[in-house]
Amino acid sequence: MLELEIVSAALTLGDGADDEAFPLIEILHTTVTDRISGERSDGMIGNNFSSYVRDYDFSVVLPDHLKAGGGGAPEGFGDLHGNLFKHFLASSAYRDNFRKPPVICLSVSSKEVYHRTANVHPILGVEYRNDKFSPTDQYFAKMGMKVRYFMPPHSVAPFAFYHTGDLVSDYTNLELASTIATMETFQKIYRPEIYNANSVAAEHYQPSLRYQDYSLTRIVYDREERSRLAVEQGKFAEEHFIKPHGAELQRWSATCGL
Amino acid sequence: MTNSGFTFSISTIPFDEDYRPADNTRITTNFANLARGVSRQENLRNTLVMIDHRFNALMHWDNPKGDR
Repeated sequence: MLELEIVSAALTLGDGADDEAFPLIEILHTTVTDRISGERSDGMIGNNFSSYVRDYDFSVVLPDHLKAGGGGAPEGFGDLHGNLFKHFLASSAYRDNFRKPPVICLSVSSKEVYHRTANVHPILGVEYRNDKFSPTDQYFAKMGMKVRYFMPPHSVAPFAFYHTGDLVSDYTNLELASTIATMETFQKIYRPEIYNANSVAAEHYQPSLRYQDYSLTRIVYDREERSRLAVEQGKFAEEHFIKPHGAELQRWSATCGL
Repeated sequence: MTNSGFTFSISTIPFDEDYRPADNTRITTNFANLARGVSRQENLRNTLVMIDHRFNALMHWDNPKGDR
Protein backbone atom coordinates (compact mmCIF):
# COMPACT_ATOMS: atom_id res chain seq x y z
CA MET A 1 0.00 0.00 0.00
CA LEU A 2 1.30 3.37 -1.00
CA GLU A 3 0.74 6.61 0.88
CA LEU A 4 1.52 10.01 -0.57
CA GLU A 5 2.26 13.34 0.97
CA ILE A 6 2.82 16.67 -0.70
CA VAL A 7 6.04 18.32 0.46
CA SER A 8 6.20 22.10 0.13
CA ALA A 9 9.52 23.87 0.43
CA ALA A 10 9.36 27.56 1.28
CA LEU A 11 12.29 29.93 1.17
CA THR A 12 12.81 32.81 3.59
CA LEU A 13 15.22 35.39 2.25
CA GLY A 14 15.80 37.71 5.19
CA ASP A 15 16.80 37.04 8.78
CA GLY A 16 13.94 38.91 10.39
CA ALA A 17 10.80 37.36 11.74
CA ASP A 18 8.65 39.50 9.46
CA ASP A 19 10.24 38.10 6.29
CA GLU A 20 7.70 36.14 4.37
CA ALA A 21 8.47 32.58 3.28
CA PHE A 22 7.89 32.12 -0.45
CA PRO A 23 6.58 28.66 -1.51
CA LEU A 24 9.27 27.75 -4.00
CA ILE A 25 8.99 24.03 -4.73
CA GLU A 26 6.54 21.19 -4.26
CA ILE A 27 7.45 17.53 -4.55
CA LEU A 28 5.90 14.26 -3.42
CA HIS A 29 6.98 11.74 -0.84
CA THR A 30 5.82 8.11 -0.88
CA THR A 31 5.61 5.71 2.05
CA VAL A 32 5.01 2.00 1.56
CA THR A 33 3.15 -0.21 4.02
CA ASP A 34 3.06 -3.97 3.58
CA ARG A 35 -0.54 -5.00 4.28
CA ILE A 36 0.63 -8.47 5.33
CA SER A 37 3.43 -7.68 7.76
CA GLY A 38 2.38 -4.13 8.64
CA GLU A 39 5.94 -3.02 7.98
CA ARG A 40 6.32 0.60 6.85
CA SER A 41 9.13 1.67 4.54
CA ASP A 42 10.22 5.03 3.31
CA GLY A 43 9.53 5.32 -0.40
CA MET A 44 10.73 7.91 -2.89
CA ILE A 45 11.13 11.65 -2.50
CA GLY A 46 10.63 13.79 -5.60
CA ASN A 47 8.37 12.03 -8.11
CA ASN A 48 6.55 15.11 -9.29
CA PHE A 49 8.24 18.50 -9.47
CA SER A 50 6.45 21.84 -9.27
CA SER A 51 8.40 25.05 -9.08
CA TYR A 52 7.33 28.67 -9.23
CA VAL A 53 10.69 29.85 -10.53
CA ARG A 54 10.66 27.22 -13.28
CA ASP A 55 7.22 28.46 -14.33
CA TYR A 56 8.59 32.00 -14.30
CA ASP A 57 11.57 30.93 -16.43
CA PHE A 58 9.49 29.07 -19.02
CA SER A 59 6.35 31.26 -19.04
CA VAL A 60 7.89 34.72 -18.66
CA VAL A 61 11.67 34.80 -19.29
CA LEU A 62 11.85 32.48 -22.30
CA PRO A 63 8.83 33.89 -24.22
CA ASP A 64 10.10 37.46 -23.62
CA HIS A 65 13.52 36.45 -24.95
CA LEU A 66 12.03 34.87 -28.07
CA LYS A 67 9.71 37.84 -28.61
CA ALA A 68 12.72 40.13 -28.54
CA GLY A 69 14.21 38.11 -31.39
CA GLY A 70 16.65 36.05 -29.36
CA GLY A 71 17.37 32.44 -30.32
CA GLY A 72 17.76 29.48 -27.96
CA ALA A 73 17.70 30.45 -24.29
CA PRO A 74 18.97 33.68 -22.73
CA GLU A 75 22.38 33.67 -21.10
CA GLY A 76 22.30 32.25 -17.59
CA PHE A 77 18.86 30.71 -18.17
CA GLY A 78 18.06 28.39 -15.27
CA ASP A 79 21.09 29.38 -13.18
CA LEU A 80 19.10 30.91 -10.31
CA HIS A 81 16.57 28.07 -10.33
CA GLY A 82 19.33 25.46 -10.37
CA ASN A 83 21.17 27.10 -7.50
CA LEU A 84 18.01 27.43 -5.41
CA PHE A 85 17.26 23.73 -5.98
CA LYS A 86 20.79 22.63 -5.04
CA HIS A 87 20.63 24.87 -1.98
CA PHE A 88 17.37 23.13 -1.02
CA LEU A 89 18.93 19.65 -1.32
CA ALA A 90 21.87 20.77 0.82
CA SER A 91 19.64 22.44 3.42
CA SER A 92 19.10 21.03 6.88
CA ALA A 93 15.36 21.12 6.18
CA TYR A 94 15.86 18.60 3.39
CA ARG A 95 18.50 16.47 5.08
CA ASP A 96 16.59 16.24 8.35
CA ASN A 97 13.53 14.89 6.54
CA PHE A 98 14.80 12.76 3.67
CA ARG A 99 17.47 10.07 3.51
CA LYS A 100 18.17 10.15 -0.21
CA PRO A 101 18.36 12.65 -3.04
CA PRO A 102 15.18 13.02 -5.11
CA VAL A 103 14.18 11.26 -8.31
CA ILE A 104 11.87 13.27 -10.54
CA CYS A 105 9.84 11.28 -13.03
CA LEU A 106 8.55 13.26 -16.02
CA SER A 107 6.84 12.67 -19.33
CA VAL A 108 9.06 12.20 -22.35
CA SER A 109 9.09 15.08 -24.83
CA SER A 110 7.08 15.16 -28.05
CA LYS A 111 9.98 16.98 -29.69
CA GLU A 112 12.36 14.02 -29.35
CA VAL A 113 12.77 10.51 -30.74
CA TYR A 114 13.68 7.80 -28.23
CA HIS A 115 15.45 4.59 -29.22
CA ARG A 116 14.90 1.29 -27.43
CA THR A 117 18.04 -0.41 -26.11
CA ALA A 118 18.75 -3.99 -25.02
CA ASN A 119 19.14 -2.95 -21.38
CA VAL A 120 16.30 -4.15 -19.14
CA HIS A 121 15.82 -3.52 -15.42
CA PRO A 122 13.26 -5.64 -13.50
CA ILE A 123 11.32 -2.61 -12.23
CA LEU A 124 12.38 0.31 -14.42
CA GLY A 125 11.95 -1.85 -17.51
CA VAL A 126 13.41 -1.32 -20.97
CA GLU A 127 15.88 1.50 -21.29
CA TYR A 128 15.40 4.02 -24.10
CA ARG A 129 18.11 6.32 -25.31
CA ASN A 130 18.04 9.84 -26.66
CA ASP A 131 21.43 11.28 -27.45
CA LYS A 132 20.28 14.84 -27.89
CA PHE A 133 20.77 17.15 -24.95
CA SER A 134 17.37 18.87 -24.79
CA PRO A 135 16.56 22.26 -23.21
CA THR A 136 14.85 20.36 -20.37
CA ASP A 137 18.02 18.28 -19.86
CA GLN A 138 20.02 21.49 -19.79
CA TYR A 139 17.65 23.01 -17.25
CA PHE A 140 17.81 19.95 -14.99
CA ALA A 141 21.60 19.77 -15.39
CA LYS A 142 21.71 23.17 -13.69
CA MET A 143 19.82 21.55 -10.81
CA GLY A 144 22.56 18.90 -10.62
CA MET A 145 20.40 16.24 -12.28
CA LYS A 146 20.89 13.94 -15.24
CA VAL A 147 18.38 11.79 -17.07
CA ARG A 148 17.74 8.17 -18.09
CA TYR A 149 14.67 6.91 -19.92
CA PHE A 150 12.91 3.66 -19.05
CA MET A 151 9.65 2.01 -20.03
CA PRO A 152 8.54 -0.12 -17.05
CA PRO A 153 6.83 -3.50 -17.47
CA HIS A 154 3.24 -3.02 -18.79
CA SER A 155 3.77 0.69 -19.42
CA VAL A 156 3.15 1.89 -22.96
CA ALA A 157 5.71 4.70 -23.13
CA PRO A 158 9.05 5.49 -21.52
CA PHE A 159 9.45 7.98 -18.67
CA ALA A 160 12.27 10.42 -18.05
CA PHE A 161 13.91 9.81 -14.67
CA TYR A 162 15.93 12.80 -13.49
CA HIS A 163 18.35 11.89 -10.69
CA THR A 164 21.57 13.08 -9.09
CA GLY A 165 23.62 9.92 -8.57
CA ASP A 166 23.20 6.38 -9.92
CA LEU A 167 19.51 5.77 -10.61
CA VAL A 168 19.78 1.97 -10.56
CA SER A 169 22.08 1.33 -7.62
CA ASP A 170 21.09 4.21 -5.33
CA TYR A 171 17.44 3.15 -5.00
CA THR A 172 15.66 -0.07 -4.02
CA ASN A 173 13.05 -1.80 -6.19
CA LEU A 174 10.41 -0.68 -3.72
CA GLU A 175 11.45 2.96 -4.03
CA LEU A 176 11.57 2.82 -7.82
CA ALA A 177 8.21 1.02 -8.03
CA SER A 178 6.64 3.67 -5.82
CA THR A 179 7.68 6.49 -8.13
CA ILE A 180 6.56 4.61 -11.25
CA ALA A 181 3.16 3.71 -9.76
CA THR A 182 2.58 7.29 -8.67
CA MET A 183 3.77 9.15 -11.73
CA GLU A 184 2.38 6.72 -14.29
CA THR A 185 -1.04 7.17 -12.71
CA PHE A 186 -0.83 10.97 -12.95
CA GLN A 187 0.46 10.75 -16.53
CA LYS A 188 -2.35 8.37 -17.53
CA ILE A 189 -4.77 10.96 -16.17
CA TYR A 190 -3.13 14.07 -17.58
CA ARG A 191 -1.33 12.80 -20.69
CA PRO A 192 -3.48 9.87 -21.83
CA GLU A 193 -2.38 10.34 -25.48
CA ILE A 194 1.07 9.15 -24.42
CA TYR A 195 0.71 7.09 -21.24
CA ASN A 196 -2.74 5.59 -21.73
CA ALA A 197 -2.24 4.79 -25.41
CA ASN A 198 -3.82 1.55 -26.60
CA SER A 199 -0.57 0.15 -27.92
CA VAL A 200 3.00 0.10 -26.73
CA ALA A 201 5.79 2.45 -27.87
CA ALA A 202 7.75 1.32 -30.92
CA GLU A 203 11.50 0.79 -31.10
CA HIS A 204 12.06 4.32 -32.37
CA TYR A 205 9.46 6.29 -30.48
CA GLN A 206 8.33 9.88 -30.82
CA PRO A 207 5.53 10.68 -28.37
CA SER A 208 2.69 12.90 -29.53
CA LEU A 209 -0.07 14.72 -27.68
CA ARG A 210 -2.08 14.62 -30.93
CA TYR A 211 -2.11 10.81 -30.95
CA GLN A 212 -5.73 9.63 -31.00
CA ASP A 213 -5.53 5.91 -30.22
CA TYR A 214 -5.80 6.11 -26.43
CA SER A 215 -8.24 5.54 -23.56
CA LEU A 216 -9.38 7.95 -20.88
CA THR A 217 -9.22 7.19 -17.17
CA ARG A 218 -12.26 7.69 -14.98
CA ILE A 219 -10.83 10.87 -13.48
CA VAL A 220 -12.74 14.00 -14.52
CA TYR A 221 -10.96 17.36 -14.56
CA ASP A 222 -10.57 20.64 -16.42
CA ARG A 223 -7.87 20.06 -19.02
CA GLU A 224 -7.59 23.65 -20.10
CA GLU A 225 -6.80 24.82 -16.59
CA ARG A 226 -3.35 23.27 -16.62
CA SER A 227 -1.86 25.29 -19.44
CA ARG A 228 -3.21 28.53 -17.95
CA LEU A 229 -1.74 27.77 -14.56
CA ALA A 230 1.90 27.66 -15.59
CA VAL A 231 1.55 31.19 -16.97
CA GLU A 232 -0.38 32.45 -13.93
CA GLN A 233 2.12 30.98 -11.53
CA GLY A 234 5.07 32.23 -13.54
CA LYS A 235 3.62 35.74 -13.29
CA PHE A 236 2.93 35.27 -9.59
CA ALA A 237 6.57 34.33 -9.04
CA GLU A 238 7.67 37.36 -11.04
CA GLU A 239 5.54 39.75 -8.97
CA HIS A 240 6.10 38.30 -5.52
CA PHE A 241 9.57 36.80 -5.66
CA ILE A 242 11.71 37.89 -8.61
CA LYS A 243 10.78 41.58 -8.80
CA PRO A 244 10.98 42.41 -5.07
CA HIS A 245 14.18 40.38 -4.54
CA GLY A 246 15.82 40.34 -7.99
CA ALA A 247 19.09 42.04 -7.12
CA GLU A 248 19.53 40.05 -3.92
CA LEU A 249 18.77 36.78 -5.74
CA GLN A 250 21.23 37.52 -8.54
CA ARG A 251 23.95 38.41 -6.05
CA TRP A 252 23.29 35.25 -4.06
CA SER A 253 23.19 33.05 -7.16
CA ALA A 254 26.50 34.43 -8.42
CA THR A 255 28.30 33.92 -5.10
CA CYS A 256 26.61 30.95 -3.41
CA GLY A 257 29.33 28.61 -4.67
CA LEU A 258 27.07 25.61 -5.25
CA MET B 1 26.69 39.23 2.28
CA THR B 2 26.12 35.85 3.89
CA ASN B 3 23.75 33.15 2.76
CA SER B 4 22.29 32.70 6.19
CA GLY B 5 19.11 34.46 5.17
CA PHE B 6 18.35 31.88 2.49
CA THR B 7 16.57 29.43 4.74
CA PHE B 8 14.29 26.62 3.61
CA SER B 9 11.41 25.27 5.63
CA ILE B 10 9.32 22.22 4.81
CA SER B 11 5.65 21.53 5.36
CA THR B 12 3.73 18.43 4.36
CA ILE B 13 0.11 17.49 3.81
CA PRO B 14 -1.25 14.02 3.02
CA PHE B 15 -2.48 13.44 -0.53
CA ASP B 16 -5.45 11.25 0.34
CA GLU B 17 -9.21 11.12 -0.14
CA ASP B 18 -9.64 14.17 2.07
CA TYR B 19 -7.07 16.30 0.26
CA ARG B 20 -8.27 19.82 -0.55
CA PRO B 21 -5.87 22.09 -2.40
CA ALA B 22 -5.07 25.20 -0.38
CA ASP B 23 -5.10 28.55 -2.11
CA ASN B 24 -1.42 29.13 -1.56
CA THR B 25 -0.18 25.73 -2.68
CA ARG B 26 1.77 25.23 -5.87
CA ILE B 27 1.02 21.61 -6.67
CA THR B 28 -1.67 22.68 -9.13
CA THR B 29 -0.11 21.52 -12.38
CA ASN B 30 -0.43 17.86 -11.54
CA PHE B 31 -2.91 17.43 -8.77
CA ALA B 32 -5.12 20.24 -7.65
CA ASN B 33 -7.60 20.30 -10.49
CA LEU B 34 -8.63 16.70 -9.99
CA ALA B 35 -9.25 17.51 -6.33
CA ARG B 36 -11.87 20.17 -7.05
CA GLY B 37 -15.52 20.15 -7.98
CA VAL B 38 -18.24 17.57 -7.62
CA SER B 39 -16.03 14.59 -8.53
CA ARG B 40 -13.36 15.56 -6.01
CA GLN B 41 -13.55 12.60 -3.65
CA GLU B 42 -14.28 10.04 -6.34
CA ASN B 43 -11.35 11.35 -8.40
CA LEU B 44 -9.02 11.12 -5.44
CA ARG B 45 -10.22 7.63 -4.58
CA ASN B 46 -9.86 6.40 -8.17
CA THR B 47 -6.41 7.95 -8.44
CA LEU B 48 -5.19 6.34 -5.23
CA VAL B 49 -6.61 2.95 -6.29
CA MET B 50 -4.81 3.22 -9.64
CA ILE B 51 -1.55 4.00 -7.85
CA ASP B 52 -2.01 1.10 -5.41
CA HIS B 53 -2.82 -1.45 -8.14
CA ARG B 54 0.09 -0.33 -10.29
CA PHE B 55 2.46 -0.56 -7.34
CA ASN B 56 1.31 -4.11 -6.53
CA ALA B 57 1.64 -5.11 -10.18
CA LEU B 58 5.27 -3.97 -10.20
CA MET B 59 6.05 -5.62 -6.85
CA HIS B 60 4.46 -8.92 -7.93
CA TRP B 61 6.69 -11.52 -6.26
CA ASP B 62 5.30 -13.19 -3.10
CA ASN B 63 2.18 -11.19 -3.90
CA PRO B 64 -0.19 -13.66 -5.63
CA LYS B 65 -3.31 -11.51 -5.24
CA GLY B 66 -1.60 -8.18 -5.87
CA ASP B 67 -2.97 -6.76 -2.65
CA ARG B 68 0.01 -6.18 -0.37
